[in-house]
Amino acid sequence: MTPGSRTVLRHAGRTGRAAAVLLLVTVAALGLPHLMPGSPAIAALGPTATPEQISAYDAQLGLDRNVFAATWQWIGDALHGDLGHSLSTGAAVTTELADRVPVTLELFLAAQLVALGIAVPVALLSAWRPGGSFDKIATVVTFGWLAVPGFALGLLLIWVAAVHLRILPATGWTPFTEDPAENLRYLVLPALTLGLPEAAVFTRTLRGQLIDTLDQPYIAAARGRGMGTSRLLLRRALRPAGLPLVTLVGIGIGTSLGGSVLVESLFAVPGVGSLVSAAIVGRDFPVVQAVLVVSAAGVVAATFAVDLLYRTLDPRIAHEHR
Amino acid sequence: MKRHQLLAAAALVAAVTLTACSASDAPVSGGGAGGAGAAGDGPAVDGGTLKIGLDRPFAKLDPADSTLTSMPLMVLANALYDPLMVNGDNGTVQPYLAKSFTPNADATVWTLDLREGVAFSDGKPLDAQAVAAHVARLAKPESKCPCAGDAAAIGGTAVTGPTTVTFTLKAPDAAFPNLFTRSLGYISEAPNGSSPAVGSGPYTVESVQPGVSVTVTRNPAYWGAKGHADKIVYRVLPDADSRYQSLRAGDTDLIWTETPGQLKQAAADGVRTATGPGSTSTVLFNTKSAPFDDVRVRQAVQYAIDREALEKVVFLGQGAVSDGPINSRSQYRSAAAAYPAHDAAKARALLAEAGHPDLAFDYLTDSRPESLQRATVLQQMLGEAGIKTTIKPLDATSLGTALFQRNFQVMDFVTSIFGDTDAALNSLYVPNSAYNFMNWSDPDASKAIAAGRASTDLAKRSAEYRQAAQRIVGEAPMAFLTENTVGFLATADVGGLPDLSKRTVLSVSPATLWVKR
Repeated sequence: MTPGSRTVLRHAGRTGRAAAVLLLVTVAALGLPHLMPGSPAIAALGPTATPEQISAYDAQLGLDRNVFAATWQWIGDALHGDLGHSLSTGAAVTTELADRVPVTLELFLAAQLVALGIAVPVALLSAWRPGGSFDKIATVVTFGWLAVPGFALGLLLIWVAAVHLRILPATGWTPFTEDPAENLRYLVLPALTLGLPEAAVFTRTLRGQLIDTLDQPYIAAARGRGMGTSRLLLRRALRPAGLPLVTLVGIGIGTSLGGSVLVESLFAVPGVGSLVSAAIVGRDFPVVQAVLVVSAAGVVAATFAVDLLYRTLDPRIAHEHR
Repeated sequence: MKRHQLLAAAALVAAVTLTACSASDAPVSGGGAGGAGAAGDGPAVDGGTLKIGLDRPFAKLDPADSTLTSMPLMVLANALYDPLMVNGDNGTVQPYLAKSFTPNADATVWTLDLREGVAFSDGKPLDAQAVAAHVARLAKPESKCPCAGDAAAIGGTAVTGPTTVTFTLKAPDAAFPNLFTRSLGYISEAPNGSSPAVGSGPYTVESVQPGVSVTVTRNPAYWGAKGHADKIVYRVLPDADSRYQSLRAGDTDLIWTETPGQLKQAAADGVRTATGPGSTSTVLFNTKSAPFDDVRVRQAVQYAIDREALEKVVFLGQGAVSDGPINSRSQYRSAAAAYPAHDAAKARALLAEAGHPDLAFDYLTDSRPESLQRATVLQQMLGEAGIKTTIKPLDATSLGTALFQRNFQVMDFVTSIFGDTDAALNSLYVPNSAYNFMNWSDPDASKAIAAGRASTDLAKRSAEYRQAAQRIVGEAPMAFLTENTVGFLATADVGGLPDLSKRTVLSVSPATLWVKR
């Protein structure tokens, strides 16, 4: 088999696995109303609902068909850009997601910037003198961050920055397209709330990787050739040690959505997290289902991208698969 | 269930006269319902933007939407829609869009006389035809309005003049105008697609993002007293803690709260309050499910509960104990009702007599922190009387299904329906009502409720309702726990906060509020 055909086969296999994951998530999402205890229709429509209203509600949720038939139809509609309509607002879910996804994406990117902006310098300084004063302080602080629950951190930040210092707004949102400066002000606290715990994880991971890398013979050789500390850390150690961070950022897309449910509700940010949070409370299944499938697609795409990025950053992986 | 879904308003006597000028009371002149009060309000300030934090997302700007007309969101609904009748002190209602609402001798035919010259914000006339069309729209099941059940009491609607509508009822109802303080009373044009339903309120919609925010601007052609603020921005702030911090940070001027800790903290933080006894905590018994089909078992639970201690622990002394279905501020009260005092020994004796000395049951509740706290305190109190309870927190869907299908033995039930005594008695305690969750039937109570409802004489109706309340407390289809203080918190910049301390339904018009900025 030629290298070219192996590559084609590898990509086909990966695409097939991704499609299988998405199909499973779709079946699970569409099966939610079937699996949940209690009757969504009775709970939503109340005790005065007529049998016709209950039937119409069930039909809208696909409860009048088996889950596979409902999934098949949903996929067909989704491929035509129709993710259904919200039970509470009547609006097209596609439109609601189009409004909300950019907000959550911006929040995610800002949180990653916060996390990486803190983790990289702290990990570099810690790894350069493991067990030194800076490393000890950084260890205590990062473990402390990891122990603080997200909502408590968010409330603490609101209390300090918005209530006490009055330098940032406590809640709300201004779109970037409307006013970039205001957008930045509203972005800071939620991005810190999402980013700081990730910074702690990134710091611990990168520090460990850097310490291992700095023990490698090629680092000793470079040091022996008189390479300066900063060049050694940034040019020779950071790139191989930082590879696991790429994975963490990729996985973080999925976990960030979970975190954004809490953070967006806390800061009243109109993103996907607050949308799905309200949809869960309001038993708006079409919205919940669409968010689940779209999120899964996002995670699958991110994993795919991380895989490709790995090959670029670490030539050994590409070489191994030849 | 949706806690505010059932409400309409309080009572009405015979003919009512034109008095109200805005869909809320006049501002407080003194201490208000608590906190800093309104003594420092000074003269009203026109202009500026008032920022209000909502505690829950609204689905549609349409009076048919039960969330929009729930008590915490009436501050939004009152901006866009004028009610025919408006809630006053002590559970009364007063005319607003209505000039008068008059019954015949036996309260089976009611004649509504509208204000003249009122128009919707799009310029179309708000006349008798518009009222009839609105009521007919919401009465249809497809409107999904919980008020469709109320509208089912109307046998016929006739437009008898340009501003006159006559409603013929299927049964006498002396409190019929109470039904027109919210959904049925917020006269609107039918919405076109997903666009908001047009009303005649003091503000009109400038922009809306469902579930996120809505901005309204002053209606230049408003028929009544103009709103003080040029613009009002409503933002959905679902998290109670960040909503309060947003108020303290000055991002928001006014919020709704049901959190006892915030009410207690408000005075220390310089936050103003306008609150009233807007909700009641109770325990429902399924009277068709053994052993709760035995009145002695239900009474034993009543005796085992120390309501004063419960109020102090869960509501931090911010509320009051509840002693029955007639709210402490209701016009139907004459004095505090008799309610079984806490007596664990009596509870044990009743259980022994009923043959259930080792009573044990599941206590169904939602999973909000205050509900779980209440359930835990009750568990300890009942334990002292030898009653073993297992707390079962459920998600909203499961709890709603269990409630509506009567698939429970004992359930935690917090409701605002007792703000309207007529609605509460007629919904919860009469046989065949969709809302008689306890499966309870008592001929004496039913007779008293029906007699009260048919009487246009306030004294007679009060007497009948008190008699029904005695039966309800005595037969114990539910145990009453606490009357909970709820309402608005505002920054010191906000003026015009009404005194809600005598209200049973906390309806506030944002047109009466101003912000000093």
